[in-house]
Amino acid sequence: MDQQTKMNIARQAKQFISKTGISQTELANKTGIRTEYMSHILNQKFNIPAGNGKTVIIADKYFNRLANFIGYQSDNHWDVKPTPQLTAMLAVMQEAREYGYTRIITGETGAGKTFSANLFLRKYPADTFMITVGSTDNLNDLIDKIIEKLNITSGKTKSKKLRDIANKLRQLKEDGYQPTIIFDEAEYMKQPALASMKYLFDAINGYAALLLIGTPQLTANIDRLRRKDKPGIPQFYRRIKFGIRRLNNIDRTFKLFLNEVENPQVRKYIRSLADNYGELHDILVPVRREAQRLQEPITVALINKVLNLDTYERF
Amino acid sequence: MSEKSPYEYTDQQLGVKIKFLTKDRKPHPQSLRLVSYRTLKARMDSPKRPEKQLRKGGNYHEALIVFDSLPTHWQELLIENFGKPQKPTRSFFDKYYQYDIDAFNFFMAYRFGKNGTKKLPEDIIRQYTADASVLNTLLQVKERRKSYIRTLGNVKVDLWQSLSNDVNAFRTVPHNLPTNKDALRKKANKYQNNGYQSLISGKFNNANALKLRQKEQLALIDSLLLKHQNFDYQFIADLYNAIAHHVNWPTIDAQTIANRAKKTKLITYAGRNGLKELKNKQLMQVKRRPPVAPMLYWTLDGWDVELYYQNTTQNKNGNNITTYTNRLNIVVVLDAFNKYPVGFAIDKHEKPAVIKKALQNAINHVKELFGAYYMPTQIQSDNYAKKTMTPIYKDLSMHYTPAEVGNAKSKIIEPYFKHLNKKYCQLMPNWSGFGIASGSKKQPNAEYLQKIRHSFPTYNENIRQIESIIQAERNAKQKQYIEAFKQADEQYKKQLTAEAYLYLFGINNGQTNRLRGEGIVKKIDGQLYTFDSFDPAFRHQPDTDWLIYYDLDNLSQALAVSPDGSARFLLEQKYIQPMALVERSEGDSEALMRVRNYNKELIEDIKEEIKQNHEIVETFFIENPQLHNTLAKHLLTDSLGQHKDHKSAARLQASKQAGKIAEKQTKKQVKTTADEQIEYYAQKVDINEFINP
Repeated sequence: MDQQTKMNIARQAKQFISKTGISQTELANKTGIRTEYMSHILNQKFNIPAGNGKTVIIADKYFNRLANFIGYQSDNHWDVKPTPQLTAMLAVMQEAREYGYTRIITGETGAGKTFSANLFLRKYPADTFMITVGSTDNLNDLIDKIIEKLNITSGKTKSKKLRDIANKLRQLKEDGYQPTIIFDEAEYMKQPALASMKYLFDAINGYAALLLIGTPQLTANIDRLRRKDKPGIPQFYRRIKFGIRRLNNIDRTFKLFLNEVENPQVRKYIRSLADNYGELHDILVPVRREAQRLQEPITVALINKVLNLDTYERF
Repeated sequence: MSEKSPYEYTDQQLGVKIKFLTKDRKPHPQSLRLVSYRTLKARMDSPKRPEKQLRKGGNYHEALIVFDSLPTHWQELLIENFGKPQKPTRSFFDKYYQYDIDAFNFFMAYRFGKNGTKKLPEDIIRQYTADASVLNTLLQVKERRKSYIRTLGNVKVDLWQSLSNDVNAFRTVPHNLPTNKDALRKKANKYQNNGYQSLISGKFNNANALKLRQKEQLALIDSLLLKHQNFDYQFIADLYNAIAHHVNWPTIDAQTIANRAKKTKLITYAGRNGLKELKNKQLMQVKRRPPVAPMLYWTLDGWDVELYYQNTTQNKNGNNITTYTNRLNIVVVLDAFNKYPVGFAIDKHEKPAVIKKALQNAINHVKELFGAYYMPTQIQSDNYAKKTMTPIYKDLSMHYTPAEVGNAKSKIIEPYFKHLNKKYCQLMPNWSGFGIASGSKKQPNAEYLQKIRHSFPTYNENIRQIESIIQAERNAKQKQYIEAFKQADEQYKKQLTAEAYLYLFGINNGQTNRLRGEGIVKKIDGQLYTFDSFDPAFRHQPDTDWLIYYDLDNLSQALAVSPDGSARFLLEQKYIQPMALVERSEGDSEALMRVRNYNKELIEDIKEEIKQNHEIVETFFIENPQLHNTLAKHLLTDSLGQHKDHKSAARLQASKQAGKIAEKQTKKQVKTTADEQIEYYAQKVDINEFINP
């Protein structure tokens, strides 16, 4: 990473801190950057003394992390567009944050759910905590992730940990924050985790927002478990029944994104390739970067070249 | 007024003591001596003279003459000698007197006599009320006076004499209290202890307020009369006398019991004859008039016809045994309009199947008379086989009214059977009589019946006998019945559908049949019949095992009923088309066209439904693009058969265009809703704050 980029990132990070009110330490925690590194970066001192007259250059990875977190865009190959899904997600999350609601947001894969959640997190870094649910995560794992994000020490038992989590969120509320806890890819939550959501709901409802984001599999899972009368699920369902928000289907004409593409054949070709916004991003960003680098217009041939596409292999 | 004063007020009039005017008969020392007693008396008695007597003399009061009736100069003399008469002040008693309204209400409400039907005469009520009011005052004054006397100390006062004087002097109200102080005292004490009742004369006392001893006697007699064993009067008298000896009651005879029985018939009837008889014979009955038109009210019942028939059976040893005292049962459905036997059925015993057969007979007879299966407005029956028959009664009529248990009088059919028995059966040699319950002594000669028993009709002959009776009844009343029905209001002419008729009365042998291409093939009495329905819904149930109901008298129709009874279809017997054209006759082509048109319409319905399914499925996939790559979608779009069905290309093209239009419309609708949703979210949040923080 060149020096200029590093400086840009540092400058933007400072602005980010100023705008969001997040502390330097919190930013360091959230990005996983050591506090002394963060301090140096923000002061635009990218070499750290290592003792005995030695210095260590702060690795690029730390700048990348910081850049990702603050939404630093080094190039403009992907603009955020106000898709219906983004608008809906931000509106729902904002409302939940303001009033301490619990919401379940479901949408197709590649609709921009995680992207939207990250935007939200970037705006409210001090009191927004996002946990990505892993496919193998059990309840203990999830609780540990939450505890880590909240940066609290807790007891040994699950019950104690959940209580501590609830207490922390309530405490943040009392301190003037508007805490929001987001579970992304919540379709991977199993029955014990979903049942414990009911506990969290009861503990923090009105104090902190609780958001479960996932594909329609999430609501299908909840419904399936509810019909089987699994412990805790009917109760949880009762509480979130009218808090479920379904995102609209993706507009696969991708009008918002492809209006700038002048070549209709390219537009058509891209439409035939991409099934959702995520895929569209994965197509456009490298293609645009290469087009810029090669000073070529974007054509079907360039797309195939950049993406190494063989039409016969595509599936 | 003092002893020295000639004046006295009484009955609100000023009177003059006669002894102040007379010159004889113990005149007052200060008498004016104006006239002899005899003359004055004659004047007072004469209607022509103005002098009027105010009060006769008595032990405690003097004779008075009305002051104003005296000659003027006598009045002046009195005033000159004794001064002007003073207006009386209210007496002490007067001040305390109060009218007792409660006493009035009590005497008004008072009843006496047998069964408490008599009330007191009005003047007696007024008198008793006055008595009570005065006694109330007397008791009050007595207490005050007693207190006063005590304060006087050693003064002897005859309290009751003084009270008596006051009561006697108090004539403002028409009381009738004793004038003697002792009698007054007794009355007052009795009144104080027993209240208003004590003022009522013995002659107004309740006849039922007998001494307890007499009530017990009557209660005993009534209880014995009530017994269900129906004891004769002498027996009851003997039982009573056995008790009377022990308790010193006077003995009685059977005549006394008979007299008592007459008086208490209503009470003892139930015990001696039963509640049913009580209701039928003693209690009030509702009087009803017959309906004004036929088919409004049917009643039905069974009757063991009083005609013997002989019946031969074989015993276990193979010997023939003939019995001669058998009787058949007839169930008659009677139209109450003119007691027309609209339906009947005969069997050995009354059972639900026979009742049903009688009703079917009635419905069929109605069809013969009026041309259609008209249903009665109301059916009345007894409670026999209630559970089985009630649904049938309810299906067959608009109103079903079961007779109250034991309420024979509510059924007109009972007297009708008596009429049949008397008018027809009695004429026949095998007549069995009027029935034991009738109590009639006019029964056939049993000895003679025994003699002629071999000539009794057989079972079938007996049936024909009974049928001829019913036919005779019908013949006599049919013309009137038909005419009245023609005049009847149309609103009462409700028809039973063929479907309902078959469901109620059709035969069903329990075997089921499935629909084949040719229809439903049913074997009835060894012969095959084919039925079918032109209702398309019938063909939508090809796998149903149908129960088939049919009427042997009319096999042109049948009814197919699903096993759970939820689906019913009226079937027609299939029209048989000739194979050879030359054999075709009138009606054949119409019947053929009917079938062809039916099939054509059915095919169109099927196609339309398929087309609608296609449109629904297409719209579904448009709204759910995430299903684009699913196997179901590929299968369904291929299975439209577009590449196979060349002949229907034009139709499919039109269908496709229609589908596209529908898709566009659906998309438009979906977009509109989605747009609204997006607009709603967009106004809730400024996403620029997130995109460009």
